[in-house]
Amino acid sequence: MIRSLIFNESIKALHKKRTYISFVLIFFLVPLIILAIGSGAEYLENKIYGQLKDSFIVFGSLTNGYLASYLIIAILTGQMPFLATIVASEIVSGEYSKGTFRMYLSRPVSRNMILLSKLTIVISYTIILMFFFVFYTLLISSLFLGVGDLAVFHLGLLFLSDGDIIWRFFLAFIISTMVMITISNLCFMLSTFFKNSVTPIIITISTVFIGSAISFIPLQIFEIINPYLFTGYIDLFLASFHEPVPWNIILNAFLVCALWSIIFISLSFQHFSNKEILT
Amino acid sequence: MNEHNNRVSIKELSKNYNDLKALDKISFDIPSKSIFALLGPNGSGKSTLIKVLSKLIKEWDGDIFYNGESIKSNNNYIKNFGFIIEDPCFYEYLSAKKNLQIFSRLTNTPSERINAVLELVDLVNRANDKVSNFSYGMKQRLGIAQALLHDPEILVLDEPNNGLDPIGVNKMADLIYRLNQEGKTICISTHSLSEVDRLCSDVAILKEGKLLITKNIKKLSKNNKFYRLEVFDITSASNYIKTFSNVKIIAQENNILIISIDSSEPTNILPMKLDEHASVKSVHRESNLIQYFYD
Repeated sequence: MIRSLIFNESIKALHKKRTYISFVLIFFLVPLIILAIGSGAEYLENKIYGQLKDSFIVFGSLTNGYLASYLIIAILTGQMPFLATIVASEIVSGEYSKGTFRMYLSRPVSRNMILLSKLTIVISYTIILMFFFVFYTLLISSLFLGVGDLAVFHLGLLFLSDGDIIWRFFLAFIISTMVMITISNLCFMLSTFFKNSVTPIIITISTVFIGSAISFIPLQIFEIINPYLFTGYIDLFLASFHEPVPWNIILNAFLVCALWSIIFISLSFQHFSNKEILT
Repeated sequence: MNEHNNRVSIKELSKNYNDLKALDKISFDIPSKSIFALLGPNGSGKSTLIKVLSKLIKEWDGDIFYNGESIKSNNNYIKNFGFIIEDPCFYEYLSAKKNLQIFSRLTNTPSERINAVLELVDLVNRANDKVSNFSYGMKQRLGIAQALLHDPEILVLDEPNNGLDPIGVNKMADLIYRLNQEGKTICISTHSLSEVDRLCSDVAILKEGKLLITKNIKKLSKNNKFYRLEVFDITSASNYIKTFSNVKIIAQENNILIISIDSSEPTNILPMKLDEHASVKSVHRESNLIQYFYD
């Protein structure tokens, strides 16, 4: 039965325009940014590495597909919660508001199974979106700007050789997806509570905003609680490009995100299974 | 009516929304193969009752039995029910056929059944059109199709004529009648007396969450005459009336008694006699009992 339910949810998701908004945005936005990076490479290098040129002689250009991907992912990951929650915000609340649950839930299928199928779609969508974002960016950047060493700042200037980069992008994808799934789970939970899709997005984005503020404001109390908040790990994917990779911090982030996800999902199921469908 | 013939038995069903009593200890039976009307004005509790039956509402008091088994801790009975609850709401961005495919997967219904039900509701030519392009009447018919998809024994239709034009109302009535003739029990919630008169075999009248009366319409109207008595002492009046085998108290409230007298049997009771023995303030003949309760 769960396969049929997941298939149903896939059909519903695939026929909605909003499912494709994020992909279309990324599809057009990323090449534009890459073109801009390519055309302004010299200016960009002066901005990023300007002072280093006083100490080092750099042959050729440091701007390549890897650097462009690194920059784009670093800049846009902070905005990804907006895109990642588009489906989650509506997947349950949309059925409340449109009245379709009156027909869908008056069938001999357990509500938990129905919610599980919806959760599967939310998580799958988030993974596919993040995969598309990271690897589409990498593909287009590499095609437009070529490949080479990646120079990043970590404890000084760190040069990562050509062959040492792809797995780091894959790790960055896993870390950022893990955080984004937690954010999607929060939005999914809120979607079971509200009858419109706007409120879950607003609350989710506000939570991310407040959590990010806690990460950045240097107060002792915030520094104590920040490791326990999933929002503190939104930019952790940058650690994939550190040497050595801080595996203990990444493992800690996984545990924190998993714990928050379990809380959000448990509350979703508890609320949905007892929810009275009155409209 | 014995227990075997009652597919659905509702016992002391109550539902509160905070301080509002939406249903107040309702009890009645829905006989098998009947066209049963839940009649009542808006806010009388009809939709709440259907939502309880369909498990859209989870918390309620009392019990409902389907074929003698309580539905409280059992979801299996739902496979024998088809519901249209309030307005028919579909995934508007999908075609009629895709909508039905979605519902068919919930009950493992074979896909050939989709064309059969679309044909039954006369939508087979619009099967691939998006539901967003459908008129309200077409959506109502598609609602019937989705309710019939898994070939349920009992069809529960909440205000099936809402928003339909007179031709649509006639088509819906024909369809309901045909389905009943095929052996389905049909429960219709409605606020239309004419619909009840025209279609239904049994009725339960609800008002402000309370059951006023539940009767077989044919039995009600065939040989009976109805009287509304206003009495001084309801206890002595009702005790007196109970001594007559062909007189039944249909309802009583405060100092009002509604009685039916079976006129097919020789009667030795007349309203005037009642007046002598039961301290009657006033006697009125009620020509249309359903109308009386409905008002």
